Amino acid sequence: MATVDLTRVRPYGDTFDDGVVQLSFSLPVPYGEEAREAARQYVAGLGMMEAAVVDMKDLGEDMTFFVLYAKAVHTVDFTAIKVPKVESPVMDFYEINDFIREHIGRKIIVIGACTGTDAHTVGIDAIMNMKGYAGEYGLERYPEIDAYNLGSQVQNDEMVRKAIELRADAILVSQVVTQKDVHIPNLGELVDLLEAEGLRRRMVLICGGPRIHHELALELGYDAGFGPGTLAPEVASYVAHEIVRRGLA
Amino acid sequence: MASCLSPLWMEIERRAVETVAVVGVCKHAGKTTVLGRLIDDAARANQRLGLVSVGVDGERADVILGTPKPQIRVPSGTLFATSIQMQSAGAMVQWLEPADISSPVGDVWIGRARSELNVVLAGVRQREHLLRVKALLYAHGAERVLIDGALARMVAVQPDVADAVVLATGAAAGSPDAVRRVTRDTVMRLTAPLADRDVVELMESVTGSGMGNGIVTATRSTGAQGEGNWSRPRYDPELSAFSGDPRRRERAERDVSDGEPQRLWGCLGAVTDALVQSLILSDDPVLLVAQDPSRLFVSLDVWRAFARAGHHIQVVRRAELLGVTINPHSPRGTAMDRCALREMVEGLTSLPVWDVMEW
Repeated sequence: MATVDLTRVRPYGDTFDDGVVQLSFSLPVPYGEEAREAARQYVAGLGMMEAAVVDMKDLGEDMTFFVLYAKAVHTVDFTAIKVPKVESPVMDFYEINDFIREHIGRKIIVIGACTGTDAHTVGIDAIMNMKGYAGEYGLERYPEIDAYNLGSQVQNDEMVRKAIELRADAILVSQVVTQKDVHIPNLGELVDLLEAEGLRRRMVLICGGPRIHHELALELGYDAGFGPGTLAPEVASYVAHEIVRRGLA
Repeated sequence: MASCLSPLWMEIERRAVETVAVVGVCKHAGKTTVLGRLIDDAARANQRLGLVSVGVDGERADVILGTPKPQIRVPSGTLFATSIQMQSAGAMVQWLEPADISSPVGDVWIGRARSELNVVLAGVRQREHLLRVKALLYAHGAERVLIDGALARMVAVQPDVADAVVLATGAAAGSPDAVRRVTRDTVMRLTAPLADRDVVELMESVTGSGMGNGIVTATRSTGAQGEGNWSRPRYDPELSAFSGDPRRRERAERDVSDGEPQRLWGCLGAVTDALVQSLILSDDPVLLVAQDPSRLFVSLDVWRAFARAGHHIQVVRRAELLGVTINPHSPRGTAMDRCALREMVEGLTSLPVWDVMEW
């Protein structure tokens, strides 16, 4: 068995370090041998070698779907990778409520929503709704948290209005960031509005969604960003710790 | 070697501005390229810079698209604020003082480059952080501080944060029409006219010089004899664009009857489309005064409709816009014609326009 050089990692296909990857995609061309060659050339253009179409299907309407194998030549230095993670210890439901009672001494108020045009509430619901997700209660179930799920397609104006009205300690914004980044300016505008109102420093601001991570959150001006698979205790632990750390209690 | 200095740097020196913010109309507008050029200029001019970003800069790949981004290479002695964990080659940095800012990517410190190196700027994300970091950078010997903006965020243009602003625009904002629209809107916002001294003094007489939040209202008569004096201003610190219909205040102001009264709305927080639209139908001319351009969230169409109705939007203070930089390239592979882009932006403003690709 060859030893892994973690500074030069490549995919494992059939044999160690052969760099073989599988790709699948569709091209807007009619099914046939020209389509096969187009797919092969496209993958070669991505910088991959020995591209071979192993399956293709006619999707109709002059569209063809392909599966290819190809060899990727470049490597990744695994030892140089740094992924920022929230450093707050994650507590469970009971520990979080105890922590809030002991260190904050009042209920904390959290509002959450999908903002802008986004109607994908599955993420915010998993965090906020009482029944929660994957065996973890949502924030609405926490006796020491007043959680308000404002739902979907909430405009930034409305979010700020609610934050003022409810005297929110934390705002959770869920966004499905698309490839075209259309949600990015909207996330940034909420931060600008809170800054303009002088509210930013008094609040813990969190964003979440399938393509959100901490670096993107910082770029947007949020305190933290949680990706897919995040459960309520992670968010609640972070919010409670951050409120104490920043002296917002 | 003054001829090697960029016209932007010469403009900064001519105006003797200390803290300069580079903001963009969108991501990938060319902010980091502008910053890189100013770092070179500072080195030529023998000036020690302090650097801070309100987002994440100097990262090897963009956090959204994964596309390569320009690195930030600084000469020895440069001061900067970042999270220690994010800065590779940490041994080449003398860490001077913690900035008391925690972040998911680690605590932010003030560092000094021991040699020429690439820096990553991350962890600073709000106005309070910028003010603290700026003071620390100057305290440690920076002669000029450059603030790199993030996305289209405008927090860095607040006049207590920056003395002057450079706006970056370019093909990354979308179609030529989209580029024109967003550039025009942002220039208009950043160059909003300044309110007269008497109006500012009137507002400060009730809010104090720090201003804070809320809405100040007053009226004055206008007529053939010229403008009268302002009535005694009313100040409600709880009122804002987000506190229901702000016009409820106006009913209390209906006691000035000589001539056509002009109504002052000193709105210290955010000035939104909804707020402007609620004032647009006022029978009397409205003077809407925001604290600074970062508080203006008014779309150009609403602004124009407001102006057509005989009203005005002004600001108490602002960081001067030095000029606009253009970047014809977009990371998505599209590009605009450089000359056409320059012509278009020059048509939007009388300020200098610089092509970053010519530097």
